[in-house]
Amino acid sequence: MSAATHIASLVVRARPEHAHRVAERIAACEGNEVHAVADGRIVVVLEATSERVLADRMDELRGEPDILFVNLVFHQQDVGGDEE
Amino acid sequence: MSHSRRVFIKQTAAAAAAAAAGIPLPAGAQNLVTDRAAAEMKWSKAPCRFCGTGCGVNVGVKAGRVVATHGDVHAPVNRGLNCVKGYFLSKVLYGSDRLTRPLLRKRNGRFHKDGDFEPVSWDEAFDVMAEQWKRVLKQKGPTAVGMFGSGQWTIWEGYAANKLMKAGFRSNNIDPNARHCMASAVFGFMRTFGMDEPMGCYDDIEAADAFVLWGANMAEMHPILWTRLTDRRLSAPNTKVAVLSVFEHRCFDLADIPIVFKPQTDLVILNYIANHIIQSGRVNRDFVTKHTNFKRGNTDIGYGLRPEHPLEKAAKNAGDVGGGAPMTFEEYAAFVKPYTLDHAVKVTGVERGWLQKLAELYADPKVRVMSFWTMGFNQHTRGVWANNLVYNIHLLTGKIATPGNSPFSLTGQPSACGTAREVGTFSHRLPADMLVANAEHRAHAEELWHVPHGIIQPKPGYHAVEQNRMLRDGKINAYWVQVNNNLQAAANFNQEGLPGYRSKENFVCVSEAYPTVTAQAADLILPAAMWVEKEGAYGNAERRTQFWHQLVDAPGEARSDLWQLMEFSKRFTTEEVWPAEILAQNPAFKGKTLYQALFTNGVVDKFPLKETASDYANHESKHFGFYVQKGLFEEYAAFGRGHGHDLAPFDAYHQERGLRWPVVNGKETLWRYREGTDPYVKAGSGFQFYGQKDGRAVIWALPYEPPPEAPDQEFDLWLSTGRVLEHWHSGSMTLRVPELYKSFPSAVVFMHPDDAAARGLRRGQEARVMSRRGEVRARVETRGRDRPPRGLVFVPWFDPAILINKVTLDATDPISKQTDFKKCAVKVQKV
Repeated sequence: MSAATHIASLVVRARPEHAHRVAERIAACEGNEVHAVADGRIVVVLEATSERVLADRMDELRGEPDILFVNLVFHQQDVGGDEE
Repeated sequence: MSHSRRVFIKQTAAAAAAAAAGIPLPAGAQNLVTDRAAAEMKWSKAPCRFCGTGCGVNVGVKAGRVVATHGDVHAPVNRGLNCVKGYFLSKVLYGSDRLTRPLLRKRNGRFHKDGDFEPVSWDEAFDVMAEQWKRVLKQKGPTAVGMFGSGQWTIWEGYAANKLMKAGFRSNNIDPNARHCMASAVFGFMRTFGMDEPMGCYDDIEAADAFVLWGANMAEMHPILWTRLTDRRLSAPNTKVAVLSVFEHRCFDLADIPIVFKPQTDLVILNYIANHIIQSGRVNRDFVTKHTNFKRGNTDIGYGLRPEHPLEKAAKNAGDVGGGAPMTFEEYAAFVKPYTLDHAVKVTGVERGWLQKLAELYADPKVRVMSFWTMGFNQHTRGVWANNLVYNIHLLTGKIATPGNSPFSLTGQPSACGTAREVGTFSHRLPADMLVANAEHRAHAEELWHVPHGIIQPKPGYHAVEQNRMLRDGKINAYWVQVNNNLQAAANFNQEGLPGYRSKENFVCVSEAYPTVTAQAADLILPAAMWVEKEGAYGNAERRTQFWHQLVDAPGEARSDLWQLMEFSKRFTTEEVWPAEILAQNPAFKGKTLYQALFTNGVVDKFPLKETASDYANHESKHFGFYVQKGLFEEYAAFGRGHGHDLAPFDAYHQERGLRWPVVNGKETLWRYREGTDPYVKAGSGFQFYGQKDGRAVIWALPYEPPPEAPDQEFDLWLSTGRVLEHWHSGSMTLRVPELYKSFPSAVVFMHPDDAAARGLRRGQEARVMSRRGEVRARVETRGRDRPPRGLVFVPWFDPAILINKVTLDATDPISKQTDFKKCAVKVQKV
């Protein structure tokens, strides 16, 4: 069986003056993509091999000093190979 | 997964998040194409099953299983966002230890108190249970049976339970676990406004200029409301946030006015603010003259301990805790005059500049203020007073019932308002704020319940804390617990909790989805259906009533609490439970079962099965042969319609994302008590607090009084208990979700590094947390999200392996009977 892929999107909130720096820090981590930054709101897409990794990643973000909150919006799990 | 498919899903994910955040994405990325997986899934709306915020979620069902939940973009509460608990909602149904069959303690094939749990049929379970209840009712009468319910009951479950206990068994010994959570808020509302629940709503958040958090840790406990508050703070830069607590937590990251005060001195701060408003000449005289009265409340009212406790014997007004006498504004001003800034600084330990800034938020007539509180006020031996005192400062300034001016009592459970409070499942209440002690109210309830006059008993039943005491004392012998884990949740586990459950005289039944601490202490466990395994309704903190359909079947033989209550009622006849003289006067009720008398009474069974939704299952209705939920709801709604509690017609709620009551002529009410926004306020009056007969809210003069227990030489630290983001209350559900469990696996003792060092403790070491009542062991945490000052430790209570309620004190607010879980004295030692 091939590994599952989990894709999730988050809205991360930082103070506007820190938003771009926080976004760069988020984007530097493997599996994270920053899709938009506006007015302190950062749209992040995560890719991971399990839900647990996703939860850990959200937890790490929540622990970051300049991040005020992390909210999950979308999640989809897909088992590899079904489209090929 | 192919590259193109992965890119496609990521674009979809980003578009959903951007939409929820209100950010435009580059064109092309916004096309939310329905993809194949999504098309196979059936999506339906439901309110979240956790806290009192009442977020809307979309629930995805595939092959009879809930496989996904997302924030509902059409839900006005959360607008597509979701917190971590909400996201993992789907998993609470599927823990590996889910209970699926009734379990009875048996030895040699028969019920035995000391036997081991064995699976039994529903028939055997109810036979044994009914036999026990009949034994107790015959021997001691209705005061010896009891039920402990919950703010997690659906509205019709709470309604059916209330009716079964108060009208069926004629026992007022029914109380919800909301007693531990909301009772002080309820009494606060009733004393000040004569009517329960907030006048404002969440829309106040976007209209306010200042937010004051009185103890509430919204970042962890109400994350979605915190999100809205943060958005307001950052998008309107002049907005101010004041955070008050006995330790620093995540909300302090956003605080413009951070205040850590000494436990119990919130009463001093509240009176100081009132004094500041008066001394600086900022009383809204017009509002105060037209719309308020002043009252001096009784003082020295004790601590709700057992009557023989020395503190109760010494309390002058332990017999009249809620009383008071009228006073003038001038007398009130003189009463709060000693609460000067100097005095407040000295008693609270807070820097004077912060206190002044805080007081100015309330005093400045241009600043619209929203106050938030939850357990910090409510779980307080002077919790009702704290609620009254915060209303005082909003009333003195007239900052109430208008957009952004909002004293807002948050709730902990999804239907603490909708079920526990509005349905009146408290031991002293009836639906729609009515009281069992009031003869008119009883008569009215008997008419709407279609039962004979004289059925409802006038004396309030045992409240939550008393129920445990009475089980232990052998005064309650047959007991039914639904939708909560009270043995873990209640204070003083060793002395007042467990002994009653395991007493030989008592038969305890627990309806549960998981083998909680409470279930394991029971004699009979009934497997319960959860959340979307049944059709349901909840009412959130802003008076919003929300419905959902049954989306999946419950596993195995698990059945909803509603089904259990109604089935059990079939095993009793009116002759067995009602007095002969009442039956003689009302011969139509002779020979009926309680099921017939209460539920097939021509009203509850009025709506035929064919009115249920054709595309959703409805187990209860199919079983009983009529639309059970609709019948119960419509009978219940008759209590409030025309009396300021108006609910919309049943079917409307299956269409809407909730409606805030009173719903009059199809329109919900955002701000009560104010002309123009509340249809009950008469033209020309401006404001009308119509819960009180004279339309005036009461400003209560209430002092600071000390807590029942404070640190001394031996027990030298304060203990405060509470929650963390990942776990909800006692962890019955969240501990079943591996992702949540891993985020915060076991409870720790949060303490100041210097306090730890002084006891030879380092971060991560195991410590003993001891009080006069018991002890637990937990690992020391000196960093992280919660940062206590010196002299105080904080222990979350979700962890059944670290039962902190062995340590806590069962002191309560004497008016609300709600336990103070936030203050007792402990010592911490190295293991």
